[in-house]
Amino acid sequence: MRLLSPGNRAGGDVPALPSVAPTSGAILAFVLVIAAMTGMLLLGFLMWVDYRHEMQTAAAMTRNYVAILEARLEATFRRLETDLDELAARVPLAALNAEVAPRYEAEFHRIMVEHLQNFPEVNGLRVTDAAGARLYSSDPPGTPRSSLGDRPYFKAVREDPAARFVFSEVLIGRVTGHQVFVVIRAIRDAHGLFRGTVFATVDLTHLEKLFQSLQVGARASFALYRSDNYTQVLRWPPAPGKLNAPLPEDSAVRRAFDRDIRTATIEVRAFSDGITRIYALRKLDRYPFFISAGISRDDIVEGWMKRALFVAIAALFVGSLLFWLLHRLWRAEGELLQFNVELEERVRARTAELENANRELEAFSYSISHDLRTPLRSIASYSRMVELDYAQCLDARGRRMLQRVHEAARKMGVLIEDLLRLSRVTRAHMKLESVSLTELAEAISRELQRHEPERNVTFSIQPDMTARADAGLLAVVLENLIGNAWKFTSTQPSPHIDIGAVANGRDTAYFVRDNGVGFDMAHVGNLFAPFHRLHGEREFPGTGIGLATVKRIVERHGGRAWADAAVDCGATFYFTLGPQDRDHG
Amino acid sequence: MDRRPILLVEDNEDDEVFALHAFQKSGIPNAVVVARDGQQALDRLLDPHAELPAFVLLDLKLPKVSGLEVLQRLRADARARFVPVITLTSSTHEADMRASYELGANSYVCKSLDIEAFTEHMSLLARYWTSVNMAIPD
Repeated sequence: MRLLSPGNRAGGDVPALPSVAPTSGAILAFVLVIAAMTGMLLLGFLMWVDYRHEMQTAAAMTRNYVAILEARLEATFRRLETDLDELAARVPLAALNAEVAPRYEAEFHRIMVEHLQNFPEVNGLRVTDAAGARLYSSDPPGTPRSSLGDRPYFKAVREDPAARFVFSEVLIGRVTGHQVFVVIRAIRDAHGLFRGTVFATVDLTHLEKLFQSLQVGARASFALYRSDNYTQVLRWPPAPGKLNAPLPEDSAVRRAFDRDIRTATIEVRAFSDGITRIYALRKLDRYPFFISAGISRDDIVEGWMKRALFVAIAALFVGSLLFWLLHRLWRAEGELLQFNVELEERVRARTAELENANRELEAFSYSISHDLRTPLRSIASYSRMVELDYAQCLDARGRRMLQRVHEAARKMGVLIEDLLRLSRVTRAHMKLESVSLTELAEAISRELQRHEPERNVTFSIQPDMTARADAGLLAVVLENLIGNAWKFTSTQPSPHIDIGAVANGRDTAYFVRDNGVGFDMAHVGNLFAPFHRLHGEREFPGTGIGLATVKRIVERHGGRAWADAAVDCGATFYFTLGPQDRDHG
Repeated sequence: MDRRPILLVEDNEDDEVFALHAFQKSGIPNAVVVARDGQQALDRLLDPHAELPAFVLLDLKLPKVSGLEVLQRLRADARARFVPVITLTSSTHEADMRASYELGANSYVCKSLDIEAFTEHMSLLARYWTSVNMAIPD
């Protein structure tokens, strides 16, 4: 019987086992996914910032280029302006006549060549009369001299007294084959009468070389445009068909300058070669030109693209790894859950088996006790009948022996009765209610005193003790414990039994204390086992079932029982009544 | 005084001896008819030609038909339903007592290990049901 304590539970229903928290894996997975997504977002943001930075750097670079080029061109034009002004001042009005020209020719040739010294941007200076015929030139002697009379720029400078300088469209140099343009200045007399011109041919090869020398990617472009009519002057890489051609009316460049600004940065697909570039545009301050410098978007983002690709591949790899890990985790968790379910099922089945076995054993012990009782009754009754009815047929020894038979049968009867009670305690249906422990203890002590009025035992029972328990079973507990205290104080001259309650952690521990014979704590281990007795039957009668019954009742309530004692110093038995008693007043 | 026989339904011969011993000790003069199982008891009790007993002393643990079933069928029979029934229980097991009272037993006697206590209890009840609380004559 003592093997099977799980039978303490009332019903057949087995409470579900606490399974391994199925959420821990899900939380981990969730955290991982969030972390991965945050990482991806951060990476994406960083790449976007990096892209923006690249674009801004490129835009700044183009702006720097156009600023440098502007400074260069402004310087060139200023010097040219100065030179032309100086030449115009040095040419006497009288010399502007083909007839007197030979006289001045050598001198002006020398002056002009001097002006061209260290001025590689200009490849020629010339002076014409009012009809456009060339009189003087920096060209070597013998160079053929054509007339400018019908040229648009000549007409323009002659017709417009307000125009100091006129810039021609781009021309192809007859001798050099270079792209050039002409800067022409009118010479007028004191009355403002047009008397001739002085002009320079600006060789664009020099600027072209400068454009070429700027290393900003294979697909960069630099260009010089007229700002008055948006015609192309020079472009690198060359776009020969577009020379002197105006930009389309709806071009982004025109639109950019519509707002009357000097500089602009635009991103646009070039008309000439279809390449998308970031362009910086800058108008010259005093001259009708603007410069554009463009860096191909592909060149700008080339490095970034490589980084982005690397990052994307790395992210893909990490993502796949993460996905794989999560997949493994989920699968493992699924297996764990499955395992838990199976385990729970197994535990349930095993518990049911155990409970079943326990019930069978209880039933068995019940019927054994019951069946033992029938022959025992015959033994007890017949021996007593013989003792009463046939006493005269036996001698004293025979009668004594018969008495012993009868006494033995009686003891066995008590033992069986106790066993049956223990068995009933295990099987009885429990009804929890508020029970007055004080009243129960008082009733039991009164009953004990009524049975043995000759004994004088002092009881001190704590007032107002209530517990949440099954009243019948709790009475059995107290009957056993107080009965024991009563029994084991029988040799004590002034017996005292104390019944009360103390706090024991979160529970209330109830106790029954006596000042009886006590026992050696070394034997406490078996104290609550059935049939275990610490004292001889002759000394203190008993079956050894009482404390086993107490233990079983207390455990059925979810509590526990223990003892504290010393030889000849009394014993204290404690018990708690489980969680339902915890919050009970 | 009801002189009709007493019907003892008991399969254990020893228990029969103890019951007879009790009747003898208490001076109950009635004849005792013994039925060894529940079926025999019912045959006797439900036979319309047989005399009804002064009371039935009914063990609850019986072969063939249990004591409780005998009691139930007896109480369902129009003629025999008022026969007093004393059940014999093997212990003070509450469940047995409650069930027999619910089915209409009039008293119970515990098969105590103490033959003197048993005899005293038995004779008290026997005397009561034969001389104090007698059956209504047919």
